Amino acid sequence: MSESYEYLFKFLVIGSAGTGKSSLLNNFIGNKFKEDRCHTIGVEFGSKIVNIGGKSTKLQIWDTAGQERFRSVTRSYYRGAAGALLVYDITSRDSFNALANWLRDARTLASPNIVILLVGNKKDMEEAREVTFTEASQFAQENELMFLETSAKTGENVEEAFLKCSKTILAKIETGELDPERIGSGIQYGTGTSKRLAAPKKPARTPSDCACHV
Amino acid sequence: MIKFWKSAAKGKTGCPVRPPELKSTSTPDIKSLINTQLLLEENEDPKHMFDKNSKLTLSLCDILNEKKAIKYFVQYMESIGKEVLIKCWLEIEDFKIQTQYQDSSNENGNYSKINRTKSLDLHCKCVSKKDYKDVNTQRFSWQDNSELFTSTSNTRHKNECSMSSCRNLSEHLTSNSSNTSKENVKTGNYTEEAIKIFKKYVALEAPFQLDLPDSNRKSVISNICQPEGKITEDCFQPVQDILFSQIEKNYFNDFVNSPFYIKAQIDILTSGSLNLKDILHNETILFYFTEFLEQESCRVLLEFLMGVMHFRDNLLNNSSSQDPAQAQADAIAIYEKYFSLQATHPIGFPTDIRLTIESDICREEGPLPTCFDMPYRIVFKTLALYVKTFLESELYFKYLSEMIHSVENIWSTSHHKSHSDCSSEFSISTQNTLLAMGDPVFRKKKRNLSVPDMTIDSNQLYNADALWQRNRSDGLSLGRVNSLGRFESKFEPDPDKKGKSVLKKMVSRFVPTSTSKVEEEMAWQIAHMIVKDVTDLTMAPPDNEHEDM
Repeated sequence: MSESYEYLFKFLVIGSAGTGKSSLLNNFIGNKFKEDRCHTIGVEFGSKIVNIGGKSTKLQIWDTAGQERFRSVTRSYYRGAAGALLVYDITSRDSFNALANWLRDARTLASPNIVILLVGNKKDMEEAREVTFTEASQFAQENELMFLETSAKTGENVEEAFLKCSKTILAKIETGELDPERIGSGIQYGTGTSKRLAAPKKPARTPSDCACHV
Repeated sequence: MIKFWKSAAKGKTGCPVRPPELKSTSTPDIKSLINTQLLLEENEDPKHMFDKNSKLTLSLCDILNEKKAIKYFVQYMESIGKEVLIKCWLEIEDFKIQTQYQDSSNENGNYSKINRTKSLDLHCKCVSKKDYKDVNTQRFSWQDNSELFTSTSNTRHKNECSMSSCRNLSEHLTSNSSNTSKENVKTGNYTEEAIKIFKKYVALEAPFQLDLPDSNRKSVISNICQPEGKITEDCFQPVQDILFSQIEKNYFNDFVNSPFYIKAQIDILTSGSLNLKDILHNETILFYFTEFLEQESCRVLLEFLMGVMHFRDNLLNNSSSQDPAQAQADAIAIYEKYFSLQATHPIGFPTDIRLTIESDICREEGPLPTCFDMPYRIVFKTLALYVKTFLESELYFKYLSEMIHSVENIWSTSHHKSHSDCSSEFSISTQNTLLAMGDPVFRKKKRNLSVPDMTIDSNQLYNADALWQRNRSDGLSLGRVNSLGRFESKFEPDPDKKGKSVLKKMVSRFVPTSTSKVEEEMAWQIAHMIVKDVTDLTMAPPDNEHEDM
């Protein structure tokens, strides 16, 4: 059971109750979609090794309970997460309105460098949509989040969501913005790394990111 | 659903001890462990399993009241120049201990000498919270009893009891029949001590100002200036309250993120072994432990513990607003995940436990918060066994080494910070060349650049494009071109951004410490001009949009 991986990231899945957090996780780790799942009590874990830019990276995903009554307990798990999926339900205006609260919690409790991706779930239920793509992406932009609409039922964009978030974390590691060896970063070196011997990597740059030097 | 419960309850009469029907193929070890554990858990106190505290997570209370890791906190406060706060706190604590100790020593003297050793322990000032409370209660009980004493013949110490000094304890204990005359002297010491603290921290013209509100100062004055000349040990309580809230609000969070805190944790880690509770309630180590459990294929046990913990806390804490139906739904969610015959994550509890839980959940008034306590205890003990292996595992050593690394790393970055601060004494004497600037502290921040980057890649000479692909040398960039193609200067930093701009920090590195702010400003302006010239030439804008550079 000890597959080798280079990095291990701690991931959170947060958001209001009934937005499909557990379904997203289950879809991602390869379980079948269930129409009437029980709500989550406490935390459920999932993990998966993905390949990001040639690096095998293991995600340790903490799927938290969305119910308000468990909020105080789930908040205690935010610390030291490297990434988070902040989930709302595109068919529920309330779940969208609650985002600001969730985001505030995540930003204050998790590490300041946490990479958050906004997920509008239940994309398959277009006819019941209450939150438009535009307003959600505007919210994402204002709060410096990445954004995707997904469907845990059809599997659309589910993997992309996790991958996109992981890629950003990895990029931050490579630019030195995140130090995996710093405790509380939510990142561990895995079994497959010989960390201190790793050759300096050239950060991948987009042309727009070029810097001028004195 | 009801039907299901009924049918489940029917099986109660002839329940077998083992659950042969459980599909525990994925977790065979767990099952056997659980069965053996069952025998052991009779005379255990389950309370501690639900405690929420981890040795590794220090609260401000732990530090200030119980003096855990206080030396690191003092060091931290010294490093940010706020040691006054903590020193004042400690002096007041000392004062308090002296007084309390005093009272209890008198009590001991009056009644018997049985508790003498205890009082002497207090002398070492390593008062744990428990002792501290004991002293308090002793004092109160003594006060009650003193009335009685007045009426009996034993009135020797009635008035002096609260006033003797702790330094004279041993004398006091041995010669407690003849020390009435000494008491007056001691009273003097005692008041003096209070006045000393007052003058040092609280008074308006005090050398160490604490930013106390006036009302606070006044209440301390009235506490000290009691007409009977008695000073109670909590006369500085208002000051302590303020200190506590100031520290909590302004400094504690930064302390938690500082290397001092990690050092305190490393001390804890190396001084004794951790138990399951310490791990469960500290997120950082829990991250490693979870991974460890996954490798051992028993992560489900952890999930179970957390689920029950949430369920229980929720019911106990919000008992008034609790809807029984909701509580039942929660309980069923847990049941269906771990206990039911069709459980999605079966743990392998024996049938009798399952049946007990079924009937506990199906009460008319909703399930009890404690309905999963029994299996919780079993799983807790099982996981506690895994802790031992965890503490010897590679993952644990990785955790330890990352803790140590973090201390070193944060330290090197924070040193770097102080270098770039214009108040640093090092800025000119040790780092006055451009070359030095690119060196150690700076580079450390970037893990990947461990080799000094002084070599010139010949590729770059022939490939003009490579110029833009170069790694950014920290802090030397003047700005960047954003996605819209607009140049964002680092000179005019984002007003939302806290702190100085990168460039300003850089400039201040070249300014000697002794120079005044004005000179620094000058130097900065000149640098600004030079840089502006350069950017004007190199970044010639296509239109006038960039005038504000």
